[in-house]
Amino acid sequence: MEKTANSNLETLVEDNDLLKLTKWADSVMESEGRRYLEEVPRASHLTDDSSLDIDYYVRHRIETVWRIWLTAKIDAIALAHMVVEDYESARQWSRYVADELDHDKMFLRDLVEHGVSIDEVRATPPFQSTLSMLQDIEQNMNSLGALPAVAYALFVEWNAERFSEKAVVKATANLSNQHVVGAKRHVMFDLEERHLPMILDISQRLLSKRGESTDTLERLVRSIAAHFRAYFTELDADDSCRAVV
Amino acid sequence: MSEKKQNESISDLPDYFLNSSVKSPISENATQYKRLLNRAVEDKESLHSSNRIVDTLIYGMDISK
Repeated sequence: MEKTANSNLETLVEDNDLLKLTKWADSVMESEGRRYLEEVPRASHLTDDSSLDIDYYVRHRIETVWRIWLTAKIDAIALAHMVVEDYESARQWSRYVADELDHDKMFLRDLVEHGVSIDEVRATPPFQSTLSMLQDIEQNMNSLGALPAVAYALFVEWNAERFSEKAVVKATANLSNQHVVGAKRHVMFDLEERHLPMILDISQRLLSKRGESTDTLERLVRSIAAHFRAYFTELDADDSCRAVV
Repeated sequence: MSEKKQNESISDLPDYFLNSSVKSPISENATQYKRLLNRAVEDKESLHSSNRIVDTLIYGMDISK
């Protein structure tokens, strides 16, 4: 009985830590969200009530595919670190990143509806902001192990959980159901899999194992937020999509 | 082990557990531990039902992984 009770108690203590981390993440992410809305031109274009700029949307989807391709590498490096840092986290992370490897197919499927083939996606260079972000994450992993890749996942999943569904609704209204089959499937997949709580759990475990505070995670998350502000600013100024489509 | 004991909820844990010889992570500070547990029990439902503790932004980034 004592062993069972002790196990339950430890679970609750861990849950309490996870709750604190969840609240912490909400606080940091909301402050970054406000900064994004204040500083980036047309920041809410993909989710607000304005008429959808199709070129902007298509170029964003091309970059989404690129980001999936490019982050597959840092996800794999993170797995190698995580196997050493925390094997239980590595189990969860491996299943997660295996799923993520296939998510490009969903968005590529939608791009075909816009007349953009996979070869045209490959021929469209990713934005400098995307390349810089990936370079930073990979460099940070040299000193911080898996945590920078997990911070990226936290940032993306937090936003995706709140805003990707709105983007699909807007795109459907401005395009057609056929143009968003992949994006819609992706949203449903993320909601069913509940990625964000799993990422928060891994974050907590890695911080604990490495003896790091949330200050380290916050620095990483805010750095990723800055790269995404740069990305959406580049996207707003870009006109290359008109040549591709 | 009685059925009553088996079904005992965390919040009903008797003091004997906190005073037992079983080492818990913070057994040296039982009062703080119990306070922590009570808060954890209160928060547990909100943690498990949703992670959207606060959600004040209407618009934001559509980024997918």
